[in-house]
Amino acid sequence: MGRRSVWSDPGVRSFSERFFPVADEVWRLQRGSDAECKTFQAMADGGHYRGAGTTRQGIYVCTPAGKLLASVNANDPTRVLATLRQGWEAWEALPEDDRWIRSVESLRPAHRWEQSFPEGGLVLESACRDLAPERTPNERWNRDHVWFARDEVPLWLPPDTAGGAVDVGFEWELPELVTLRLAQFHLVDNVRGQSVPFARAEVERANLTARVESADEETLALSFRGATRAHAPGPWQLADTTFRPKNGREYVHGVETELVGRAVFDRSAGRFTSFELVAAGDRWGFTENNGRRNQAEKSPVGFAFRLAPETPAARVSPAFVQVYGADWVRRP
Amino acid sequence: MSLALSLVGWIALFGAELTPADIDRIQTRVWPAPTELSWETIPWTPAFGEGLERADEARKPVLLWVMNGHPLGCT
Repeated sequence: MGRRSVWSDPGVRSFSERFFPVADEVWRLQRGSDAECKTFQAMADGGHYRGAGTTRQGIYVCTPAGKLLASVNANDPTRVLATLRQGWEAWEALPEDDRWIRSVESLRPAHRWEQSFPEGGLVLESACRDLAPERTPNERWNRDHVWFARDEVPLWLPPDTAGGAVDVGFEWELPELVTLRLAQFHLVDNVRGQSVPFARAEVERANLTARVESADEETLALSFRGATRAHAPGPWQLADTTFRPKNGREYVHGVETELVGRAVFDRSAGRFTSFELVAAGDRWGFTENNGRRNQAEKSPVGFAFRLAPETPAARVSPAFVQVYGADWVRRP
Repeated sequence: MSLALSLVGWIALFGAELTPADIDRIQTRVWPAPTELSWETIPWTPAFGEGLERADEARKPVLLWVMNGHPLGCT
């Protein structure tokens, strides 16, 4: 999240209003073969990271036609602002005919994970952070999104919800589809950088008990309580090899949590109107890119989940959606 | 983090078992403060190709921010 501090700089924010702001994930763009990815590669290959085989992370100024005007990869607002100014000057000097899209080929991609966004489902935003007693300046945290399809929403509800009467005090265990989705893909130590999901076999415990706290014709108020433990001693057991490092460095890592939460379900609308779930526990070990190499010992970590807002940003896919194992997730 | 906290982990903060009263405490601790979310107030379009097309319609140059992991999601 350090890089995001750039966008709090008043000079950067003010100057950025001259541009149309776009954000995206670079891994697919720098490797893909559709028109969107090829346009990105042609543009970014002339940028600050020249040469094949390196990441193209950074900040770019380009025309809608995909012509590079300036670029940088920096956390320093002064350098970013200088790049924006350079890009703007290049834009101002550009002939009008060179600025705009001329191709009739659509730049919309053949596949993005966002195309599987679960309309009418349960869409949560999540955050994770180290649990020190007090916040410290520039503390690291991370976020993600959690998806449950429309057909999976009833899995959060008492079995006879559709039938009418629901007893206050009724308790039941949420099914594995719910608890494993959380334990494998969302109770993961991404606080300091992207980690890897857990395989089913690496989840030693994942239970979540729900209870009806109140019920009437319109709403159900529910509470949740549970626990998870996932431990990957290596070699990692992910069936999907996407997250297996090619260098064979499959280090020990794990997360253990307790969960507690509450939610309100609107029975006539068929959707949750509030949803708050938190987890606190310990993480240990490290993976290749999660920034824990020097902090392998156990330390406290917290997670929070709530309804995602209805914004374009909130439609960004979960980091590990490709290994959800759900048939409604459309694959490339 | 203090040595004591590192030895006993999260239980030092919340007790051996979470209760409903901990929901607010943990949320307050984990959710980012507004000062940590300044980048979110910029109206990013979250896809490059769509962004180019919409910039063309808006008659503006593009400011593109790309990261390993989506900048508006898990990075």
